[in-house]
Parts: sequence; C-alpha cells; structure tokens
Amino acid sequence: MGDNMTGKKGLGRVDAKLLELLVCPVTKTRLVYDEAAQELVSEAARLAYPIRDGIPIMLPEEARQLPD
Amino acid sequence: MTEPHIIFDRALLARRRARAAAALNAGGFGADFLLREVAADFADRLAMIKRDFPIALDLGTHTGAVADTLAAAANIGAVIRADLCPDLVTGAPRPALACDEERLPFAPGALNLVTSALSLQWVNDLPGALAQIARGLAPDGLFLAALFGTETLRELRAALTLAETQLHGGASPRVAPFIELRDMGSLLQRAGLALPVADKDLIKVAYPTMFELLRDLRAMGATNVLVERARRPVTRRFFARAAEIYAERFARADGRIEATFEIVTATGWKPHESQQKPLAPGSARARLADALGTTEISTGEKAAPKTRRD
Repeated sequence: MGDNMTGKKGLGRVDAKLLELLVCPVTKTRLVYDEAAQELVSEAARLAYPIRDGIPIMLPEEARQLPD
Repeated sequence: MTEPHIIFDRALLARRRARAAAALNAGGFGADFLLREVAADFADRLAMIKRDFPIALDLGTHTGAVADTLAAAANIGAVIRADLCPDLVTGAPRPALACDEERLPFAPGALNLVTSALSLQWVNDLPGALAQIARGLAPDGLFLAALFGTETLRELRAALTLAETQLHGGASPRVAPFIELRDMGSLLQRAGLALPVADKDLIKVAYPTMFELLRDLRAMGATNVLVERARRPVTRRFFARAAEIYAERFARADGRIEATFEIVTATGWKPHESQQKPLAPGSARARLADALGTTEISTGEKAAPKTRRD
C-alpha cells in the first residue's frame, strides 16, 4: 500500500489508495474523483459525495444532488 | 423482497454518536470500557490467526479502540476507520471515512478483514448489512464482529418497564431488541460467509445507581434510538421510580446495582478453495469397510433377517 495508508501522512488530503476501494453506496458503481471540488461523483446515482478534511463522507443524505 | 422493518432511527443514532463523540473528545471518562474490552478480545483472536490482512476495515469505529488494536498488529496492513457519524472520524488517523453499515461503499473484494464492534446491533437490516460486508471481502477474507446480545441491560429493561406500567399504565420500548446467539451463525451463512462461529460472554458492571449507568450509556451513544420509542416526555418522577425499582431488584451485596452486558462475538470467512469443506459424495479414495475391518454391503441388498425367503 502507499505511504498514506499508514495513517501517519497527508491528514488533510484524501488517501488515494482508499479512493480505489470505494464505490457509490447507493448504486455500487464507480466514482469519479473531482479534486478541485473535493467530491466523489456517482453518475449513476446523480450524487456528489463530499470529502471533508480528507475524509470521504459516503452518506447519501450528505451528498449533493447533481442537476439532471 | 419486502422492505426490512424499520426499528432503529439511524439519523437519531448518528446524532447520539456525535454527542458521545463530543463527550469523549472533551476529556471523556472511559465510558468506552466495553469497546476496549472487545478490542482486547479481538486482538487475542486475531493473534491466533496466522495470516496477513493487507487491508482492514473497522466498521463503526467509534473511539477507535478496535482500529488502534488492528493498527498495532504485525499481520495487519492498512486500517480504514469508518463510522456512521462523521464527527467520530474527523480527528481519527487516516485513512478514514463516514459510511452507513446499511449502505456500504466498498468495491467487491476490496477488503481482507472487516471488524465491527458493538455497532451492528443498531442496524435495521442486519442480513443486508452482512451481505454487503461479505461482498466487500476478498476470498479468504475474515469478518469479526461483536454485537450486544439479548441479555444486555435486562435489569434496566425490567426497571423501566415496571416503572412505566406503574406510573402510566402501559409500557413502550426503551431498550433495543438484541441479537440471539443462535441466530448469528445462520445469518452469517445466509450472507455467504463460510465456517461461521459465534460465542457469547456476559459482562456484569456495578454502578452506584441507575443514573450512573444511564450516563455511561449516553457516553457510549447507546441510549434509546428506537423509532417506536415513547414520544411522551419522560418525567423526573419516572426515572426516580425506575431507579428505586432497579435498586430494589438488582442490588448486589455491597448495595451497588448490577448491569448485564451480553456480547456476542462472531466470525465468518469469505469462501476460498483452500478452506476446509466436505468432499463430494462418491469421491472417497479408501473404503470405509476396509478401515472398519468388515464386509461392505451395498445399498441394493440391505442386511435382511435370516429368515428371509425368496
């Protein structure tokens, strides 16, 4: 695993290896990482999950609804 | 499939866990003793397993007691900390995320070990949550969980029910229904996990009065999250009466009251061809009759009474 998975580095940034393991909790489909917006976008669910302080918030109720 | 019956208010649970997190972050007073107990037990169990787990997930990590244990183990690589309540993982070592056990965000086969300590009893759809955990495990991945069992808080339940009946002429659910040990194995199997094993442990904790017990439960984020909980405001008189009943019925010799926690611990493995399993019928390479030193009688000609005539 990468350095960040040791849990000691990059406290403010999201762990790249962690992102590889994640899927949309609603549709179980792939996510697109929007680095600028700090969001994980699920096209299938039309939801954008926020990443706060390097922590993905994978809760549909906390996600931003994407415009259709 | 029918929708699972909604028993627990998950949004309320998240708020309770957030409040508990605030209490713990503000210095705490060790109310996570049960979690630490489970963490020590998990460490013992994992130490017996000679295998490497490159990626582990601690689901419902709460104070991180279990995750810290995993991180210290030599055969465990990365430890991902996850909780329903974002506040509980904000200050945690990374990698960490917020997620709901009822809607897991992990790719199939992404994980080698999933631990869950004292959080799955608040899930509405336990078979669904277990199936999602099984799906996230790689072949030969291990699931290790501890849940509150049916005996948990039996004294508190009795005291509250009796007090409510006496004061209001009826009782409403105040302590959650917990898992039966005997159900756990079949639930794991249903979720597609092999070699399921479950055992239970009773922990008795002494408190000066019921109020100290309730304070600990609040600090654990474990107070009533039942959807059907009474909306009637709870009066001071009600709690005072319940505390009296508790002290009358469940006092120890030293005058302190006793609270029971039953912890059901379960393990299951994601199936892999290297695991022990029964052989296919007819695949035997040695005859049982030879091993027993007897003569084999085929199923076509059953051992018959000597008097049989054709």
